[in-house]
Formats: sequence, structure tokens, C-alpha cells
Amino acid sequence: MTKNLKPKSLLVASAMAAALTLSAVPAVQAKGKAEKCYGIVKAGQNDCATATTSCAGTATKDGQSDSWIYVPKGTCAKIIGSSLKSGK
Amino acid sequence: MAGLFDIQDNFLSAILESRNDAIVDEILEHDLSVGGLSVQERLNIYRNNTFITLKRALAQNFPVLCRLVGQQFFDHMAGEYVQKHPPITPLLMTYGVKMPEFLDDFDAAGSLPYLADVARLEHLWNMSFNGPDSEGFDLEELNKVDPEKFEDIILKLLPNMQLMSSIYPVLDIWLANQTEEGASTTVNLERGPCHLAIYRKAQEVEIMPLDPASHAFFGLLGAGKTLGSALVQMTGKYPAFNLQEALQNIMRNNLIAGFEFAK
Amino acid sequence: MSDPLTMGNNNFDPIPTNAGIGLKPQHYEEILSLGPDASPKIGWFEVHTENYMGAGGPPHYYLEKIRQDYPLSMHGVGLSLGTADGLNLDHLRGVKNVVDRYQPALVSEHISWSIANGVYLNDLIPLPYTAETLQITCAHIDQIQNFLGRQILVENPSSYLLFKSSNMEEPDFINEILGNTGCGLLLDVNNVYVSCQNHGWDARDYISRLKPETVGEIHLAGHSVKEWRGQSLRIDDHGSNVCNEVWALYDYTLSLMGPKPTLIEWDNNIPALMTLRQEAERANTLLNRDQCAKNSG
Repeated sequence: MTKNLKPKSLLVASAMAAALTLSAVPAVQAKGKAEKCYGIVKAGQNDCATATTSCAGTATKDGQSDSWIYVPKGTCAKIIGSSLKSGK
Repeated sequence: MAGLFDIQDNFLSAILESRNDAIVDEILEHDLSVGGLSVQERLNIYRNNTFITLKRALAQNFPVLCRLVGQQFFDHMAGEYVQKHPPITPLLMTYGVKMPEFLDDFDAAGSLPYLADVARLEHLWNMSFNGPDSEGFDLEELNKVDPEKFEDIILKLLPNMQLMSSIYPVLDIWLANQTEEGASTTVNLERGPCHLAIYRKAQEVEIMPLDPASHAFFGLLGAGKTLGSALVQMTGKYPAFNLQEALQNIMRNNLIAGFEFAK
Repeated sequence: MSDPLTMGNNNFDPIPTNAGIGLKPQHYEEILSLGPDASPKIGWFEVHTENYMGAGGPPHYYLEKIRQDYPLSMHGVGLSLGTADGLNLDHLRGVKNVVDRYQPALVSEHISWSIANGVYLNDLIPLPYTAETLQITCAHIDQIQNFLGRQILVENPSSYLLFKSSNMEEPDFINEILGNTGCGLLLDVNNVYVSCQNHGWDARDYISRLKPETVGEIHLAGHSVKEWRGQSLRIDDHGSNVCNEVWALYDYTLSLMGPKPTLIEWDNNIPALMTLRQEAERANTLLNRDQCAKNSG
């Protein structure tokens, strides 16, 4: 970096040079923390069988009841905070 | 007798909209007197099979969403989704691209405003899981570049990298719901917004929380900006942005797939 | 390799005339750790083509590795051969990409439809067997074989309903397709049994009307039985062991056709890999018996 660089060029050049040098040194702590998830057994969704669930075998129509009887009943109970709106 | 096109069109209406009238005339009546199934019942087998397999694909693509609302509610919600947005390609590995906007309008889930962003994160996770592999990149290549040219470099981040922001702590919600048993920890929504990079280096998908400036910088690189022009845009909007730290983060986490020079 | 029964016009790792199993992600690691020589040996694998049509990621990582040790068959579910409004060319290009990449010995699809008005139903829906359907289906098979530059196999369907407009019987319709296009038949013996039971047809008659030299592969799978008003309906759910009636029909098929590459399909309630290997061994026992009988007779 001996040439006369314009300020922006100089900024990018020195940031790059420093980052490259420091990245070669074993990281003390990477700045971003990556949360890993393996998921290698994620099933392939396409197949050629008729679904096994008893419902596929029954000739009755799949339940299409009115939405209002359905209420979320999962782990959402563990999500708290004042920004939760009341349901309609 | 209808031609093949009409038969398939009418069959589709029967499956997705329960409008059986037009198709029943085309289907052979088996002998009901010996207990055979009626035409309506036979059609229902196909309807149920379609809905069950597509709902199952959605449950596999959105496991956290499923845990959050519970199996029964998810089943109902997914059924509505299939009706509104049936797949338009035979690849089901990323079925559910419209789940976030569907949830925004889904009144029954109106009390859980963060669901759409959880769905967005899960869809991007699927995109990254199935996205292009990266060849791997040796930082030595960058050391060979004339420093004067650095500002004209376009850094290519991992080709399967996805970015998102949410006003809710969706990564915390996602992390708390990774096991079949579901959330063991409580997540407070007041923990506030998050900015995420979702990517895969080898076989594992990783999610990295970013500060708002880094998130914006990743976005500019993803849009194909040179380092020079990205820096100009960043300093205007984020005066505290530190280019060296951002680059170091990218390099140390091996997020570079390659680079090229602006033409 | 001069086995005339091995269909597929490439000579890259042909499918051997023994039993293979459907490849499932749950078994990737176990298959790799067993290695190709573990007994009972797995002859070959079949995958659903669409599950390997993403750009990258773990599905490709594992299939690449497994492909190095085993012959491969790619079984598609998304081309919708009998669709009235034309093939999805994007999908066909995707199939070609993945076929070019893995060089499978067999490429197959279904005699059914699953796409209408651009919507994909993810189900294999039966066709009315008419001259119009025959013409459309054959044109699509020609188009696919030309585009891929190879022969494909087409599979007979299982079904729960029939169309009034059908004026050909299913085995005759299949024979017309094979004769018109030069494609081969993937004879799903379980589907023959399921459809014949559901519609009151004679399964042995159905199979005896097919031409042995057209059959490039056989499928075996489990199905379930649902009772309604004292009558039963067979549901093709691929979720259990192959039943004795289907084994008997398979035995009959081999007696007419000689040994053919045979796949154990299991897509729901997926069991331990050993269960699949044991089912494959049962097929191998029948295949070997026929092979011996053929060689000595």
C-alpha cells in the first residue's frame, strides 16, 4: 500500500489487508455465533404411496369445520410478551 | 362423455374445492347393492390422500411452526393452505413458500403475530438445505489481489445463503423448539428484533445472528455490490459500521464462495 | 453383462437381476457404514427422482456416495404422463439434469396423472383408457424418451375408481403404450393385485396378457385393507410387509416371465433397514430359484 490511493480505496484496502491477516490467526471468538442444525435425515417429501393415516383409507370427507373451533395448543404457550394480540 | 382435459379439470375441482358435480358423471358406479363404495366415497379417497400427503409435506417443512401451534391446529391450518396455495411444481422439498403471507391473513392464528416470521425462517432454512453447494474458497486467493483493486472486488458469499430480519426474536423461538418434546424454555417477545444469515457450508445448515449493519452489508454483497460501493452505502446509513470487523467475521466463518472484479 | 432382461439403453452399471430396495434418508448412514458387501447383500437402490432435484445439500451428498457402490434406478412421480395440457418442460429439464448427473440404469414414471391447470396434486390419479388418452400419453412418453435420449419404463397404476369412458382394459392399454413408444414396463405386482381386488378383475389373467420381454423391473410393496359395509378396499400405502397373496402373484409372474430386477418399496412407517433387506432376500430366493430353473431347463 505504498501508492497514493484515494481515501475510499485506502479504506477498503486497509480493512481487507487487516481482515486477511487477522483471519489467518486462529479465531479467539468469531463475531457471529452460528447455531447449527444437522437435519440430514430430513425426509424426501415426494413419494408414490397412498397415505397410511386412517383418514386416507376412510371414505369420509376430511374435516373442514369452521376455523373458530381451532385454537393453537402447542408450545406457543411458552412465548410471552406484551406485544401479543388477543385472538379474534 | 367429457374429453381428458375436462375430466382432469373437473377432478381437480373435486379434490381442491369439493365440487364433485361435474366429475361424478364420469366415474363408473360399482355395484352398491353388494356393498361397494359409492362414487363420492371413491373420490374422497383421492381427496383425502392428496390433502394428507401435502399436509404431511408442510409439517416436515415447518416443524417448528407445527410444534408452536400443536398438531391439531397445524393440520387444520395446513389444509387451508393446501386449498389456497396448492403446489405448482412437483418438487415438495420447498413447498410452502407462501406460508408467511398466508399466516399474515390467517385469522385463527391472529393472536400469534410472530408465526409468519417463524415460517419465513423455516422456509429459508429449507432453501439453504436444498440450495447450491459451495466449492470452498482459499483466502490465499484474496492475498494475491493488488490492494488497489480491493474496492472493485465483488465478494460472493455462500450461494445458499439466505438473509432475514424480524421484529420478533424468531431465532430464540426456533431454538427453543428443536426437539419433539417442544419448548422447555420461555421466550419473551420483548427481547426484540433479530437479523439472521442462514447458510450451509457442508451438510449442516447454520443460522448466524447479525447486527443490523452487518445484515445490511451482507445484503449489499448478495446484491452484487463491489466492496467500494457497499462501503459508501454503509457509511451513509450506519456511521458506526466497521468494514474490517465485518470482513473478518465473513472470513473467519468461511462465508466466502469466491470473488470477481467489477467490469 | 449380456443379460437381455436388463432394460435401459446405457451400459453404465446395469440393474442386476436381483432384489433392490427403495433408498430412504433414515438409512443413509447405516448403508454407508455397512458397505456394499454386507450380507444379506443389497443389489441396488431406487430413489424418487423428485427428492434429488434440489440444487445441492445432504440428499446429493449421500446419493453420490451410495451411487459409487450400487447400481441405481430413478423412479419419478412428477412428470404426469397422462396430463391433457402438456408436460411441464421445466420439470422434464430438471429430470434430465439429475439423470445426467447420476447415470441411473433405469428411469421410470407412472401411467397416471397428477397435474392439471398447472396444479400438482402429489397423487397418482388413474386415467380413462381411451384412444385420446393413449395418444396423449404416448406422445408424452416419446417426448420424454427423445429428450432424455434413453428408454424409460412406465408403471401400471393402483386405483380406487374407474372412468365410464374407458373402452380398453388396463393390460391392453399398457400393451398399446409399450408397442407405440418402445418404452418398457415397470410391472408393479402389488398394484396389479390391489387394482384387481378393488375392481373385480382377475390378477393372473392381467399378468398373463403382458409381454415378458417388455418388463424391465418389478415392484413389490405392502398394502392395507379397509372394510366398508362388509366389502373390503385395498389401499396401496407401501406401509407394511409384502402380503402372501402378492408373493404368490409374484411367484406366478416369475414363472411366466423369468427373473426380473425386483424392488421392495416401503414409503410409510419406514422400518429398520434390516427389515427391507429381509424382504429383498425373500424376493432373491424366488429369483434364484427361477434363475436355476432357467439355466438347467
